[in-house]
Amino acid sequence: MAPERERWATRLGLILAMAGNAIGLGNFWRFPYQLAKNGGGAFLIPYFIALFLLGIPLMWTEWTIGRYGGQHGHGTLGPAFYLMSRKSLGPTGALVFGIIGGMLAFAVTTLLNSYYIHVIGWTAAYFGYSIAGSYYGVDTVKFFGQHVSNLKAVLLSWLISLALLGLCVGRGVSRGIEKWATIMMPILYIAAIILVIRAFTLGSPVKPEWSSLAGFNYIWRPDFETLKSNFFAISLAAAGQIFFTLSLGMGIIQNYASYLRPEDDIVASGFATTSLNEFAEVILGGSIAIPIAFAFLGPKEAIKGGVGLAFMALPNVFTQMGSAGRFFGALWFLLLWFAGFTSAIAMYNYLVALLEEDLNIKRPIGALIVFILYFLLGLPVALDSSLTYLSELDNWVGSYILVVLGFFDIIVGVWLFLPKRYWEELHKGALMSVPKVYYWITAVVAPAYIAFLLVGTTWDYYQKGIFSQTGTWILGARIAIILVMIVGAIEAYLAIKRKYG
Amino acid sequence: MGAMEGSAIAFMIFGWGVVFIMMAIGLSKVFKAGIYFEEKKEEKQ
Repeated sequence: MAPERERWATRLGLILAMAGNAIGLGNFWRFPYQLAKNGGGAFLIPYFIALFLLGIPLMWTEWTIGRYGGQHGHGTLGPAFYLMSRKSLGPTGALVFGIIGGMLAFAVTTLLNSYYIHVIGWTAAYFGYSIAGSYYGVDTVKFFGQHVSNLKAVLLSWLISLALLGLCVGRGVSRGIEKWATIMMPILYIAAIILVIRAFTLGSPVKPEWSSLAGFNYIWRPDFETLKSNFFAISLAAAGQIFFTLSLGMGIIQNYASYLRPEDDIVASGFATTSLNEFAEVILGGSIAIPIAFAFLGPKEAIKGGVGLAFMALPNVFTQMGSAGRFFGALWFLLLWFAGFTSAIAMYNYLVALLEEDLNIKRPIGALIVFILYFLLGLPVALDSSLTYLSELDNWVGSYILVVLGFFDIIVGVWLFLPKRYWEELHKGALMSVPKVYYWITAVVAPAYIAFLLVGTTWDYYQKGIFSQTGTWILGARIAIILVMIVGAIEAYLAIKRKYG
Repeated sequence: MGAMEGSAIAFMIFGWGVVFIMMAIGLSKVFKAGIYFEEKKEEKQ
């Protein structure tokens, strides 16, 4: 008999917490620069295809794995994968899959969050800089470099964000995570809607030919020519964005779903969560950064903004808005902070659940231990102002390991659990039924899509020479990844052995 | 310059439409069942 677990108090709270989990920096920061980099409308065509053939089926699979694990007292992937694999494998084979799942989810939730919380810290600092007008009249690229080199500022904004995360998660699922999400998510949506309205009403403030509508035109013109000439690269980027934006392959959707009751719906809830995320991404995220940058910086600068769009290009825009720019700048960075924070909570909670369930450590103590763990793992990120360490972690953990974990989600949650049983499990307590075509999409199309993404990313890394890169910070990041994966594998092994012999 | 082309407007309506329809389907099903999980249980009883 599984021990009594914490539960979500309300359906609204669950949906908002799950949406907060999925909606992150990916929606407002990564999505616009991926859009800009990959031809705007040319990117959106494979993006929508990936949403329906990869994102939605994998989202349902992760909810199913989570609720099933939760029925047996598990909010972490190791034991959940073990139990599902046991439906078609012996104990040793199932143990292997349990270890793989536990190891990958542990690596993502520790290492990805170790630098993600830093980026959240930057947004907190930039919120203050916007109010104070600190980046007004200076080179914003240099200003960003100065910020990440300013150890005191980096540590302060990082530790404040980290401490607030610990406080929230330490209070528990319904009293902490759910309550905070219920307050933060509506504010996030309101802030984003204000910025979208501003983007639509900007007109042409600098040059007649520069306008936000030209930005919208770039985003939404279905550019088949660009897509045809660069089909694989754009399709790969679109599929990667779907993974990142829906927080798939991290173990955190499963963790939140584990706090459901066995008969609680997951079909409509998973679909509603996906739709809220897409609202935040396609409608809100797609209507802020690029149109505003088009109006103030012109098409060339807006498109080449890249990863620096949020922290380097947009501060230039806010400067040009005059005193109103302080308000809109602060609102933009507050939005980013909320978006990042509600996703970081989920990764933080995964580790607290692991300590709580596998080592019987009480939640507040667990939250403190995870705080120390993130502090230690995040220190190299703070010390390396070149951001090489962060980029290397992101190359492997934020862009690669999560795709591998997504692949194993389907292998274990659908194939080893057996497709028919998966379909029945998905529909337990369902408030709506899933079209039958999704049975095949989930079992065949989605894993093929993920395999394409994995092969494509590997080839891309090979061509860019990422495998052969060297340097102290790169080596340090790779050692950290290997060590964390070893610890994750041992932890998963011990957790499964202790419970199932 | 600065205006949106017809194909861009059409694709935008399609994209936004897809998202709004998804929201309408998902959220209506969820909230029809009630804000509180307990409501579902009581109905069953």
